[in-house]
Amino acid sequence: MKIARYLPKEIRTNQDIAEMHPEYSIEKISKKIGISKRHIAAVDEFVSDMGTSAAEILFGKFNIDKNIIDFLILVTQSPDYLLPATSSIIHANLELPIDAGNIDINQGCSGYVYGLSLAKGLIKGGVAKNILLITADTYTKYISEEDKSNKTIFGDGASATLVTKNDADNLGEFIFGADGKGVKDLYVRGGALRDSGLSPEIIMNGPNVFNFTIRVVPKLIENVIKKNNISSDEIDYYIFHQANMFMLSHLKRKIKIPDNKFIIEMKEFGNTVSSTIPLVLENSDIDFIGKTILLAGFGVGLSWSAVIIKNYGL
Amino acid sequence: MVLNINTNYNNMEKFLKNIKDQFEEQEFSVQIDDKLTEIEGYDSMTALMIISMLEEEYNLLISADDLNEETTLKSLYKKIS
Repeated sequence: MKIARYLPKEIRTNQDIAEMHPEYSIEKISKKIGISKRHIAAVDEFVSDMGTSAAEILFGKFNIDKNIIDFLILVTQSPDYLLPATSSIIHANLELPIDAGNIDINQGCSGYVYGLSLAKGLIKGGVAKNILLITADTYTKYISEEDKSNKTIFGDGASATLVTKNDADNLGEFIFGADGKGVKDLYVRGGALRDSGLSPEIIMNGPNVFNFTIRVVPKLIENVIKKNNISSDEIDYYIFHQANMFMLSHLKRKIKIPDNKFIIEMKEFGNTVSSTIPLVLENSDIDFIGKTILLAGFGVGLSWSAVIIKNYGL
Repeated sequence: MVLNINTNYNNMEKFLKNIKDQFEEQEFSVQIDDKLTEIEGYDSMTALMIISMLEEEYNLLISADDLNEETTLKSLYKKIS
């Protein structure tokens, strides 16, 4: 898969947050959660802008002719408008072929794997050949002035991935799941039709989300390995949704994943929701080409997803 | 019998130390009759760390809501002993 990223120019450092909240021991907390910087979308910068930029960078970086794109998938939970789909705006911005379809997926932390599964399905079903999969979110616009915890965790970012037939062949079996009972453990109150009188504000019960990941993720990993009919020894790398270092370290110990196979890479970006996994694939110093990689997303929904990619990038 | 009392005492001391270790501020003592949510410095990050510790050390997976509803550390200790 060919991947590019776009990160907004403005950076919010731990020092910036300390100045906003002098009573808050951010240095101690950031050491635990492993984040030192986050990129913040400008006031007049939205998901369609960031997604468009990520795709333009992808086309330039790999010399891709945009006219080969026959389907656009956007994963976002911070759309420009309630309707139409924000992918319609990106489709127009990029001047994609008029016969290329587009769809938005409203998933967060599990969204990249959802996007890959839809891309694989469209290719394997003969519907499309070259799919542009974009992830983009501006969660920071949902964070209230007083909410120091979420300011510490979330950053904005976007990724663009070209998924072709070879990539679809390399994508193995998927696992998905949902537990809607945990909707209010992580949600945006206001901004849509329910509670429409309220300004949108993100509400997160961090400990409950953490509890959910401990309950669900070990089984998810076991099941996806089983479904792909391989042994854990054959997996070269595990790339989980980069929620925060504390949570990932706990999961790594619990699932007994060796340090050298488990990637934690979020220090410079924070939790960018559906973009964390492609950001690791794009940004890491590790050469993933030809490797067997397990991807797992989990979080808002509550929702989870996993897949194993063989011969990555070949 | 004496041995059992000592063992229980040591387990409880260890439990209290494990709870205390999750707090940033260490210049205080934790008592078995303390209510977790009333200990100074208790916040969502501490809750998250206590949930993690209880799961790793005692194989007890507790929800944040249940953790906050525990009347005292003693009632929490009963769950793991």
